[in-house]
Amino acid sequence: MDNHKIIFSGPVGAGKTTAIAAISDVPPIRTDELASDSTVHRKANTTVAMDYGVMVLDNGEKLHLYGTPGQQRFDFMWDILTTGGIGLVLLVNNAAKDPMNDLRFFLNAFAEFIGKTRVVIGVTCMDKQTSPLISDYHQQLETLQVRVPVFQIDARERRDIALLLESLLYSLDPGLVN
Amino acid sequence: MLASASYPVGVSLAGIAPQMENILRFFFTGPYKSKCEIVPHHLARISIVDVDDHRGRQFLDSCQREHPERSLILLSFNGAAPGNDITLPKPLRQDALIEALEQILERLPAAVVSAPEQAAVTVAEMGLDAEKVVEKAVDKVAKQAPVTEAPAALSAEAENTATALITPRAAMAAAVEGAGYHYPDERLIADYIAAAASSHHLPVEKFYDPGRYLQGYLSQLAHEADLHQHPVRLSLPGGDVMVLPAPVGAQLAGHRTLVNMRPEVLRDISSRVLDGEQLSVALIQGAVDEASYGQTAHRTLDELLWETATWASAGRLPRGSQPNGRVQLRRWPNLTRFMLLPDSLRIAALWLDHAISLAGTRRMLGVPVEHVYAFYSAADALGLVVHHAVNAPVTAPPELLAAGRQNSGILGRILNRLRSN
Repeated sequence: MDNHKIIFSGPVGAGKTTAIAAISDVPPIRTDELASDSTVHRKANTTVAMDYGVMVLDNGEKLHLYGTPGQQRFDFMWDILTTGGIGLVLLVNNAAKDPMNDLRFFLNAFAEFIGKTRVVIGVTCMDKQTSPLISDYHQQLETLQVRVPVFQIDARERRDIALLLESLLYSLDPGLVN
Repeated sequence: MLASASYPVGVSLAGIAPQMENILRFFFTGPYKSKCEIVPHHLARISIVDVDDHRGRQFLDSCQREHPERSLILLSFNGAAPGNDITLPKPLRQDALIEALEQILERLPAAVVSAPEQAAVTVAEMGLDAEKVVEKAVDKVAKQAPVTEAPAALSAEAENTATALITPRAAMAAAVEGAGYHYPDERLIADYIAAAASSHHLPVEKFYDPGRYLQGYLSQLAHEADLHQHPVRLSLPGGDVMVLPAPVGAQLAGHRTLVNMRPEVLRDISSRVLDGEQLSVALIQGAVDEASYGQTAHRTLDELLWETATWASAGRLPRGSQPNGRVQLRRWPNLTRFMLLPDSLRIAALWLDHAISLAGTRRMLGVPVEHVYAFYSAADALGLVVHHAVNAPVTAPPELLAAGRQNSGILGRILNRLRSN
């Protein structure tokens, strides 16, 4: 039976773990540890290796959902996790110090993978911090010559995450039938 | 048959995916409303729980601890769960759900039961699968709606449409009834557009003038608000809409609005040509107490424009549009916060990468032309559409010409899974 995977990435606190939990058929397997670096100021636990969830498809195939560690010092994991992936879900925390910098950083870090597949962007925490707007993200992406779906999301909401994934699928193949 | 019941009996939903939740809400506000109604968990006597969802399982654990007397209907892909609870396989069939409910209602304590005469829904009568519940509920409401409910101005504009216009209105009434502000289900919007489209005699192009609808007024209000740097309020029969000025230098997306209007009223007003004598516009000089507005009143202007343009369009094109001109999408609409239109994800994905005509879009994707027109109208209202010359080359890949194909690949199977849950 074939196995397939979708990668969730983004900076610390963007909601990757929560997003995977929202759509996974099983409680996500988390490899959290107490934060010991600058992350400690933002969250008590942080993901140091990966999150893992799974969706079982109708024919029994599994869609694996991998969340990358947010800290740059674990970037050696990113290549390992993305190998063979269908696409990338990039989450950005709008309430972070410089979300546009985060956006640029992760698009650059995953440029090779994105070039082979597709990326969709979910912006979290817009209820806490309304600026920048979604249109600001699009403007930033235009300067990078990237035209991809950018949605405001609540990582806890299955509907939001499902819509992000649907937009990823249609970006890969608009001919998919509803 | 039931011996007795104190109707309606409270039912709560846990771990249910949004699409299925919408279907169940229809079921309990339509065909089955005389017997059961959706209530918060703490008021429920029956809970329907999707145990494939971890939130459903969390609820199940707490419910079994705190409400051991509660009757449960468990939904799962994986067959029956241990214990006395009823487990129904997914995808959920309506006859199975009714049978389970009847079984539970029969065994509820007699003290809370007293059968109403009108509780006459039977499995045989409702022998449809769950997917058909929406259609049946919509039809039922539509048949009951009086002809006088047709939006007057719209019916005046379109010839011979009075009867057909009942259907979209009635269909949408079911979507918003008794709920806080939320967008109607994608399929109901499709029903609305289809019913309106039949009255416009589509696919023969029929145009509408956005400037005569609320959609057009909103754009003017935004302009006035920015010009004076004060909120501008449009008062209409049924409520009002206030547009707040955008921060200096911000574009359309920077505007916020306060909508003091019920969703179904907003829909009706948006679908009519506005009568200038029935509205008034006021510049608000003092401070606006935004906190006094309910949470659902706060909306961005682009969310509101997207929705009002959809209702105004109802499957038509804005006047001046060229059905044969090539179009492209400037950027993706924020579809998690906009009303999700039928086939919008497919059309958006196609238009982002390819310049293609509206008619070509319909052919390539195999979608109803009015869905293409509705999406175009909403996107155009937000300035998201790039127009190319009529003779610009089609850039869509040839494999898309195989419209209507099955989702045989892995992407299709993932999509089916996302949509089925």
